[in-house]
Amino acid sequence: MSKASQKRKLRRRPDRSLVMAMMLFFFSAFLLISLKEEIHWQGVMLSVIVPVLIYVATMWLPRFFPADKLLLSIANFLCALGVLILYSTDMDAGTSRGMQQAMYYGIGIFGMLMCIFLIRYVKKWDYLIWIVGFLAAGLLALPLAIGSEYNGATNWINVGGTSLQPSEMVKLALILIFSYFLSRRQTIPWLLFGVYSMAVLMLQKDLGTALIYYFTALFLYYAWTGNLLMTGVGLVGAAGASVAGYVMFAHVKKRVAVWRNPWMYSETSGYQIVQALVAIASGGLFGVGLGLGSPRVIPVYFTDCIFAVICEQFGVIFGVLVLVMYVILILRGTSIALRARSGFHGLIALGATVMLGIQTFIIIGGVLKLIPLTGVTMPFVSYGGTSMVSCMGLIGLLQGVASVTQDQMEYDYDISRMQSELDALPEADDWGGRKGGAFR
Amino acid sequence: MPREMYEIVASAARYWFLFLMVLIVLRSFRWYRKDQKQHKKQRKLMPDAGYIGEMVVIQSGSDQLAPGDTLPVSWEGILGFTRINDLCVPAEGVANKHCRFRFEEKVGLFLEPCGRQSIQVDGQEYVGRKETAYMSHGSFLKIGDTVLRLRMFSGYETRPVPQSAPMADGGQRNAQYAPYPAPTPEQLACWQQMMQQQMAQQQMAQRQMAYQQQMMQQMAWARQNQPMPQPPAEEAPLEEYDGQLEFDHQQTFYPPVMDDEEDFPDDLPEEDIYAAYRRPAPPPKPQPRPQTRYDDHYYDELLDEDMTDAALPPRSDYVGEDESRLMKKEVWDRMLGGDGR
Repeated sequence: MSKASQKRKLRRRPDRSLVMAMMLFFFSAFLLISLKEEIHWQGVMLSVIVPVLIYVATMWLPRFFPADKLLLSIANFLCALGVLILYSTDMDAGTSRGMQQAMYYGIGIFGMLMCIFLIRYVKKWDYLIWIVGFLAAGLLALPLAIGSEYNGATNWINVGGTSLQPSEMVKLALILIFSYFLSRRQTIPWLLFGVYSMAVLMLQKDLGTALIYYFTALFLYYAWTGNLLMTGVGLVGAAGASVAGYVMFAHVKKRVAVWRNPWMYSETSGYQIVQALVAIASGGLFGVGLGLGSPRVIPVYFTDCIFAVICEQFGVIFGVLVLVMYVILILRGTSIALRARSGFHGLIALGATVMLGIQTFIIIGGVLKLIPLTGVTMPFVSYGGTSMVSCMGLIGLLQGVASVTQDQMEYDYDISRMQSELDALPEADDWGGRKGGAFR
Repeated sequence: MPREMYEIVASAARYWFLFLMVLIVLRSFRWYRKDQKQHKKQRKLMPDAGYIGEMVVIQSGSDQLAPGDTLPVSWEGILGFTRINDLCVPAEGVANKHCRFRFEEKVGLFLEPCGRQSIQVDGQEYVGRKETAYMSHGSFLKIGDTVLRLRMFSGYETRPVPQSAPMADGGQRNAQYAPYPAPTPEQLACWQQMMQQQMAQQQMAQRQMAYQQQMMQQMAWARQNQPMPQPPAEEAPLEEYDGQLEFDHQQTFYPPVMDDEEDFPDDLPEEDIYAAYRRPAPPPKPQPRPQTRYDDHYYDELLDEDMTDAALPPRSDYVGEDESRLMKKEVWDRMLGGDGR
């Protein structure tokens, strides 16, 4: 093969071309935003750092272990999109959420690596899973003791001047605990942990996270046991709990009323959703342009309603394409789960995928007025260090499973190749093929 | 950049960003599809990938399975009657979900009966979830009237699992393995190939050496302007290697331990080079006692010396109920003077 054709082939490689398009996107976007009114050197710096970070995280990291590059590139794209949106919206306000988010992105990559190594190199979970369980239980209950209330939910703690949301970190532990005990068919531990988590989250009034936990657990249970009856009972129970909550609690009634007709409460409790819908509509198909519009009118635009900001600045078509990226990520995660050899790994991959999918649906459905709006973050995009580390940790779990499966596939390939070489020997007929001709 | 100018540039740039986003999504999707196709292709090239072995039907309990049929065994799953199971055995005596199995690396295939189902592994019966079993290459599994035998693929061989009575701890028997596993046919073939290559290399080196010597001699004669002396006609040709190498296939051959620290016994004579690694001769199998009748006074000596239970032979030495009854009768007669009563 000539050098020219080798180069052409290299250029046509899907990972290379995709990463190049992403780098070009963020380079031009950060460069454009940095030229707004006056030159912002931070923006110029980000126009170099973010593409380089994408390149390193997507193309270099897989050199150390067999990772899924497509998954990595999609996650990196969404993270960088979050940094871009936060930087563009906060540039005029004088806050530094964009720069902070870029820092969280780096920490998230580190968290992802930790999760990958955890899945790849920890072979015995017998005792570790109990330690993880007790730590998670303690961490989840911490806001009840020393937590602070934010937007009605007591799910934040302050450690050394930094706010943390423990329920985000416990997501990873929840997946590990459910996957381990379900695959070992030990019902009581996972059931106890599930009930405990739901009770604590209810006490903290963190309804969005409770929803994510509940449906992830139910999905994992159905995926492993295939028990349609008990899954149906779980769904009916969730519906019953919703109805009971609606009847018993006034704030639930109010939230449903706002969901049904937000325009009636446009000046009070429905202000956020109304502003989000107005922003999406004002963006139109192609958006108002990067750095333009008035996203800061939307309350909590940097976490809950960041999808509305994306639609306003880049347009509805772009928003739909972002959703397609999430869909590809979920499809990819599902295929990783299906390819896993052991039930434990399969459940981990499926749990991470389902959790990301449910979280995306809850927040984007809430912003689009498809379901009542609850305060959860948009994975990878929303502002928040804990959320970023947690989501990158979920990607790390998926990557770990993918790399273990890839290792096993390569092992199988080596064995088949060795066996095919042995089959070529004249004496090989006596020994049979890979399937071993004779019993010992 | 002035604000008006920025607005114009940003308005124009949104189409550029949309174009790039469409490109990114299309490339991602194309990559996803391509990878799926590649995976399918891999599975076609390596149909055994993901399976650790297969169950060979030795004796069938239904028309749907014939002796010799093979059922692939995945890493983990459920064995049962219906097709929804990972290992479908549609035969009489097999429940819808009969037992769970899980491959444990370097240990074996772990089996756990579902509910109160029972399985037989190498003749040992296991009933219920508490009694778990391990299968290794060549183990037999009997469910109902169906007998299956596990054949593990290359690369997934496990050390032989001792099949003792089920233990209360759920089958923690990992400490009792033999120090060395018996070599598998694949390993033997691999070593055979290795030895062949070494011999072929030695032969090639010998030939090259002989050729070099011959050439040097030719050059030396040429320098002296003298004719090359002809080699003697009766010189024996080089020994040809016929590609055959005999190995002991009866499990007496033992692989050398790949441990650098271990001292290889160099001082042994060449013919005994593998003697240190040869498996010691197995202990002689317990021979069944001669089937003597009590009329032959086989137990006379025992009965004269000690009449406690410890002195009696194990029950497995008895054959049938009649003999034990006869023995009781004899004890009665001898000790208590029963006289056949």
